[in-house]
This record gives sequence, C-alpha cells and structure tokens, in this order.
Amino acid sequence: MLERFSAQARDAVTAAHDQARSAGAGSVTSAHLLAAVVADPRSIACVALAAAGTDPAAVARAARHTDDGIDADALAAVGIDLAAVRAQVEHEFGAGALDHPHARARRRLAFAPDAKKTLELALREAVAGHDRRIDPGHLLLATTRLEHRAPAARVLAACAVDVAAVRTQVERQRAEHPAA
Amino acid sequence: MTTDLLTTAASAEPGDGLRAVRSLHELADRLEGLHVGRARALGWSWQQVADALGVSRQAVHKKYGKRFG
Repeated sequence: MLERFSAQARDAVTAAHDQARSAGAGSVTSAHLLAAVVADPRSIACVALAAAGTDPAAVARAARHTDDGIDADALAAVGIDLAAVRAQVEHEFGAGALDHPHARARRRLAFAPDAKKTLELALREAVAGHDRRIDPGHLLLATTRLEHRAPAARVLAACAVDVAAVRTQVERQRAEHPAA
Repeated sequence: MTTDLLTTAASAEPGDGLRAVRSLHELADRLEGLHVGRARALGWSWQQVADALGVSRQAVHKKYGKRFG
C-alpha cells in the first residue's frame, strides 16, 4: 500500500513515527499521524483545514496533547520543567531513560491499530476519489472517519473541526491543483 | 509551583489540569520503574522496595516481578 503514497504522505508517515519516538510514546497513533499531516503549512491538508475555519497549528498542538507520552506543556503549567527532569534522569540512568518502555525496547515503534486504520481509510479515500496517489489530504479525511474514541478523532472533536467543510475544501483544493 | 498548581487546578478549562495530572502520573510511573530496577540490581529485597514506596510487597512484586525478578 505504501507505494501508492505520495512523497508528502510518505514523509508524513515517517514524521509521525519520529514524533511519537521523540515524545517517548509507546506506539504511533492516529494523533501522531494527524499532527504530521498538518505540520506542513503548504500541504493540501493544512490549506483545506484553514479554509474550513480551523487553525492547523491548534490541531497540531491538540494532537501532541493526546500522547501516551508525557506532555511537556501540561507539566510546565504546574511548574515542572520536563527538559530539566529529563536531563537529570538521563544523567543518572542513561540516554532515553524516561522514554516509554516500548520505545526503549524497540528501535522502530509499532503503529497502533487506530494508526493502521487511518492508513487503510486513506487508501479508501483515494480509491473513492479515483486518485492514483494517497496524499496528506486523504490522510486528513481518513482521520475524520475514525471511530470517535480514536486519538485523532478526539483531537478533531476538541478543535471543533467542521468535518463536512474540511471534505469540501480538500476536494476544492484537489480540483484547483490536480497535480499536488 | 503551588500557585501554578492551584491556578491550573482552578483553570476554567478542566482539560489543562487533567492533562497535567496525567503527565505527572506517567512521569512518576516511569521514574518508579527506573528506581525499582536500580534498587533490585543493587540487591534490595521486594520488602525493602515496598517499604520505600509505601505499598505492599505483593503490590510491588506484582507490578515489577517479571521485569526485575
């Protein structure tokens, strides 16, 4: 299936993995995918989200908050400097000591079932749209079709994303920039 | 920190406070694992580890017995 992904979509999948790892998460979730998809402001996903009235940066922020890792922003709000804690712990226990045990045990993190489901739904989006390539727009639309408890679905709900408007905007972008 | 904690706890947005609490739990859990592992490697008994953590020996053994048996 990955051979059908556009270069941008492939980069997003890689970025999702890197993001999960650097957050010390135990697996790559649909929220990591969503955060990666909205990271590039020029991507069709970001343009469509913005046109649908949602700030892509707010989605990226909310996506980071659903991590099973430790949320540095949330800890900063209670006066704890996670970077300082991490530095101290790594000094005592070695690099990566604070990472999720799964992250330390394996070099590559596994994709959680909801993340796999997102990739599968993205393929379906592309097939339904008669698009040869799966791009970040398909990935974004895929997250809107996840069941409501999936991490990415919770992010979209928290950001009050207008799913119908996003779909319309993605389709409009695709019609205006067919090669993208 | 106390003032910050109170501010966050009293925040109009319960999500902020809850996320902080969740992160604290997760952070404490990972620190616990590291320290229990070190104590066991240094020859501490399960009873000593349990006493230091203020929990029962059974509880600590159940949680870490496999990893640091």
